[in-house]
Amino acid sequence: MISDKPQPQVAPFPTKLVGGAVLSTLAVFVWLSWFVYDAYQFIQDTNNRIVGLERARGDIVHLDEVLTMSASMAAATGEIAWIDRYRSFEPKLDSVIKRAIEISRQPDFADAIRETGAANIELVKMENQAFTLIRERRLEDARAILFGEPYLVQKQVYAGGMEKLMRVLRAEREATVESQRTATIGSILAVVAVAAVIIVTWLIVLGRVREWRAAMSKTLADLVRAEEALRKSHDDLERRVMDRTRELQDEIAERKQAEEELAAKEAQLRVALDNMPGGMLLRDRDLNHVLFNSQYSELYELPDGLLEVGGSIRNELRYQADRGDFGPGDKDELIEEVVATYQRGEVVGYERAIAGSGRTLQLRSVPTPEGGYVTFATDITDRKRAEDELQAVYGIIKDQKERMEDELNIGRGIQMSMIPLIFPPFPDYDEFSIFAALEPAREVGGDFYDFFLIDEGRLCFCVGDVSGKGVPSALFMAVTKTLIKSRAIDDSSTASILTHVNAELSADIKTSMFVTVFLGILNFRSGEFVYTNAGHNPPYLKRKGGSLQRLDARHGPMIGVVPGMVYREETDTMTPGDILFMYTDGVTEERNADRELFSEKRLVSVLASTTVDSVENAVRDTVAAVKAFQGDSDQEDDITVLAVQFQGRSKHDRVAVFHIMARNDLREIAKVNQEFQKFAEEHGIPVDVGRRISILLDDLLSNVISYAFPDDEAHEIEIRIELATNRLTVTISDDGIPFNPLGAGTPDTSLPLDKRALGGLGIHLIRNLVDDMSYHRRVERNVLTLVIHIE
Amino acid sequence: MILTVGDAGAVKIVRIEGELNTQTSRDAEAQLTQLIDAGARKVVVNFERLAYISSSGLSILLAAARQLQVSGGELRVCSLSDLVQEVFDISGFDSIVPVSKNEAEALDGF
Repeated sequence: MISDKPQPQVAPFPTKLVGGAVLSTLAVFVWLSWFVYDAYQFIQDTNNRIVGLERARGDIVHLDEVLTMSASMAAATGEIAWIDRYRSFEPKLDSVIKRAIEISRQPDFADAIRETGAANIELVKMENQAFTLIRERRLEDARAILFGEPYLVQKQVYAGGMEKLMRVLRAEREATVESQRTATIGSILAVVAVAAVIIVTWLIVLGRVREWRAAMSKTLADLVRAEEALRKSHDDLERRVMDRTRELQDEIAERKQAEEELAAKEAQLRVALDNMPGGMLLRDRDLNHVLFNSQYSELYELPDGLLEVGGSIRNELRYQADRGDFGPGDKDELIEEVVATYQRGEVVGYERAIAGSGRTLQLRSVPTPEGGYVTFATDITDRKRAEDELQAVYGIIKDQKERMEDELNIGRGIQMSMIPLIFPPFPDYDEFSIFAALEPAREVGGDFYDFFLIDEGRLCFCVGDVSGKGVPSALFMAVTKTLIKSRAIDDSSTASILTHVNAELSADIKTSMFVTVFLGILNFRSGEFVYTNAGHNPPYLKRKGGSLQRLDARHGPMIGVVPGMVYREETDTMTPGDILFMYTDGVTEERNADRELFSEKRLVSVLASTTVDSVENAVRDTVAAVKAFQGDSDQEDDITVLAVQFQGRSKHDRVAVFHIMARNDLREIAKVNQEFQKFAEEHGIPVDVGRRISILLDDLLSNVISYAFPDDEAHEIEIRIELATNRLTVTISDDGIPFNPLGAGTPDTSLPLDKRALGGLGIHLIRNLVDDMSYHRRVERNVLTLVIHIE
Repeated sequence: MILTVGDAGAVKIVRIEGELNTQTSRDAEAQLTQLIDAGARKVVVNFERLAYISSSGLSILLAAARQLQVSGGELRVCSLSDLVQEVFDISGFDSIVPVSKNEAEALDGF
C-alpha cells in the first residue's frame, strides 16, 4: 500500500543565504581581485617606474660619461671619431632624459632633470663649441672650453643636478617602497578581513547548509521510506495483478471450456430441435423470433424465409390472416387479438385449423421467464378426425344410454308412485302403527309393499316381489298391487283375494312373470289377523316380551304360475306391542364384498335386539344393518321391509272432541282459541297443555290462512281436537292449494339477531312443541295432524 | 293483552299481561314502537303475567330488539313462565334477547 503518511517536507534549501553568500563572496572576491590587482598594478607600476628611473639614471650617468669622455678625447686627440661618437650618443641621452621625465612623477625629479637638462644644454653648447674648434683644429681652444671653468662648473651643476636626481630618485624609491608596503599590508589585511568575513559567512552558510542537509537527509530518509513503502505496495499490487491475471486466465479458460460445452450443447439442441416430432418456435419479450425449427414452418405451411431470427410475430400472423386462418373479419384486428393473447404472460393452448389445407394443429405456448414465449405445434389432424368419429359414436351411445335410463326411470317412477311413502299414514289411528321402506336397486327390481284401510276396523297390508327387472316387472307389480287392493275392498279373506288375483294374472299366459306375495289383514280392534303367504319370505312376529317367531307357513306357490290355484290362509292374534315384520329377499340375499349373504341369521339378530320396539326402529335398524353389511358393493336387488305394530288402543279411548270451522281470516284465530279454552276448562285439560295448543293453533292457522289460499276467496278451515286419556290429537284441514307448512326448513337459531330471518320460526316452534306431527294431502285437502302426549 | 310501561331510572319496564299471539302482537308492536321512537333505549319486558307467546309474538319482540340495537340500546326480558321459557329455548331467542329471572336481575348492570 502506498504510504498514507504525508509527503516528507522538503526542507527548503537556504538558497537565499547561500546565494547571498555566494554573491557576496563573489563580490568580495571581485573587489579583492581588483584590490589586489590594483595593488599589484601599483606595485608593478611603481616598480617599473623605479626601475625605469634607475635605468634612466644609469643611462644618464653612462651616457653622460660617454659624452664627456668623447668630448674630452675629442679635445685631447682632436679625432673627429670622438665627435661622431659624441654625436651618436647625444640623442640617446636626450631621449633617456625625456623618458626619465616622463616616468617620474615627482615634480622634483622633473625639476632636477630639467636642471640637469639645463646644465646639459650648456654642456652641450660648450661641447659643440669645442667640437667646432676641434673641427677647426683648434684643439687648444677646444680644450680650453672643455677643461675650462664654465665647463667644469656646468659639469658640477650637472653633477649636482645628478645628485639631486639621485636623491629624488632614492626618495621616490623609498616612498614607493613604503607605499608598496602599505599597499601590500592593506591588501593582506583586506584579504584577511575578507577571508574572515568570508569564512564566517561561509561557516554560517555551511551550518545552514548542514542543517538543510540534515533536513534533506531526513526528508530523504522519509522519501526513501516512502519509496520503500511505495515499492512494497507496488510489489504487492503487482503480485495481486499477477494473481488476478492468473485468475482471469483461469476464468477465461473455464469460460472457453464452458463456451465449448455450450456450443456442443447447442449443437445437440439443434439436432434435437430439428428432429423433434413437432414444431417449436421461441419468441423473446417483444415477440420476435429467437429460435425455431423447420418443422414449425412446415406444419404451419409457411413459405420459406418467412420465419427468420429477429423477425416479428406479425410477419407470420399477416400471412396467416391473409390465408384466412383466423376466419373472417378485419385482418388487423384479428392479428392484434392473437398478439394480445401472447402478452398475457399465461400458458396458452388452442387448436388452429390451417385454412384451405385440412390440417389442424395443436398449439401450446408457455411463457418464458424473461417475458417471451415458446410455442409447440403438433399436427393433430388425424387425432381430430379420430376424435370427431369418436364423438359421433359417443353421441350414438349416449342416446342409447339415455333411452335405457329413461326406461329405468320409467320403471322407478312406476314403482315409487305405486307405493305409499307418507308416514305415519294414519296418525289418527292409534290402534296400530305401520312403517315401511323400499330401497330400490339400480335397476328396478319389482318389489312392492302396500297397505290400506279396508274399513274402520281393518288394515290390509302386503309385501311382494315380482320376478325379473325393468319396466315390465314394474308394470306387473303395479297390476298385482291394484288387483289386490281392488279385491280386498270386498273380500276379507286373504286366501280368497290371492286366489282371485292369481287367476287374473295367470290368465295372461303371454307374460311369463310371477310374483311372490305375503298378504295380511289385521283387525286392529281385536288384534286378530289373517294372512296368506304365496311363495314369499316368511315374516317374523316379534312379541311384546321380545320373543321372535317365524311365520313359516306357506299357503301356495307364487302368484301367476299356476292358473286356478286355490290359496289357503291362516289366522293368528297380535297382542298390543307385537310387531309383524315383513321383508323381501333383497334383505336376506344382499351380498357384501366377500360375497357373503346377509341371510336370515343376521336379520334375526337385528330383530331380536331390544332396540327394535317400534315399527320405525324395526325398519330402520334392518335397513341400516343391510346397508352396513353391503358396504361398498353394489345393491343388486330392491330392499323392501314393512312392519306393522298392534297398539291395542281403540277409539273408545276417545274422551272428547273439539270441533270448529273457521274462515280464512286471521281474526278468526282468536275466536277459535277462545272456544278451545272453554273446551279445555270443561274437560280438565292442564293449563300448560291448553296454552301449548293455543300457540299451535295461532301459528298454524296464521300460516294456513296466509299461504293456502292465493285466490283471495272465502274458505273454511276445519279444526278438530280429540282428547284421549293420555293425549291430544289436533287435526287442521283445509281445501287450499297443496301446502305443507311442515315443508319449511329449520331456521338457524344460532344466528345473531340481525341475520335471523323471521320466517320458518313458527314451524320450528310447533315441531318442538308437539310429540308427533304429520301432513297428508287427501282428496283435495291439506290435512295436518299433531299429537301431544299428556300425563 | 294489556301492556303497561313503568320507569326504573333510565330503564323502561314494559309489563305485558295476557297472550302475545297473532292478534295481540300487532297491538303490542305498535306500543313498543311508540316507546322506542319516543327515545327509550333500555327496555326490560316483564313477562310475569304472560300466558303464552306464539311466533307472531316472537317476531315483534325480535323487531323491537333490533330497533333498539340499531340505536345503541338493548332489550331484555324477565320473569318468563316455563312454557314461555321453553318457547324461547326452542326458537333460540334466549341467545338473542337476554333473559333474566326477575326485574331486579334484569336491571342489574343495565
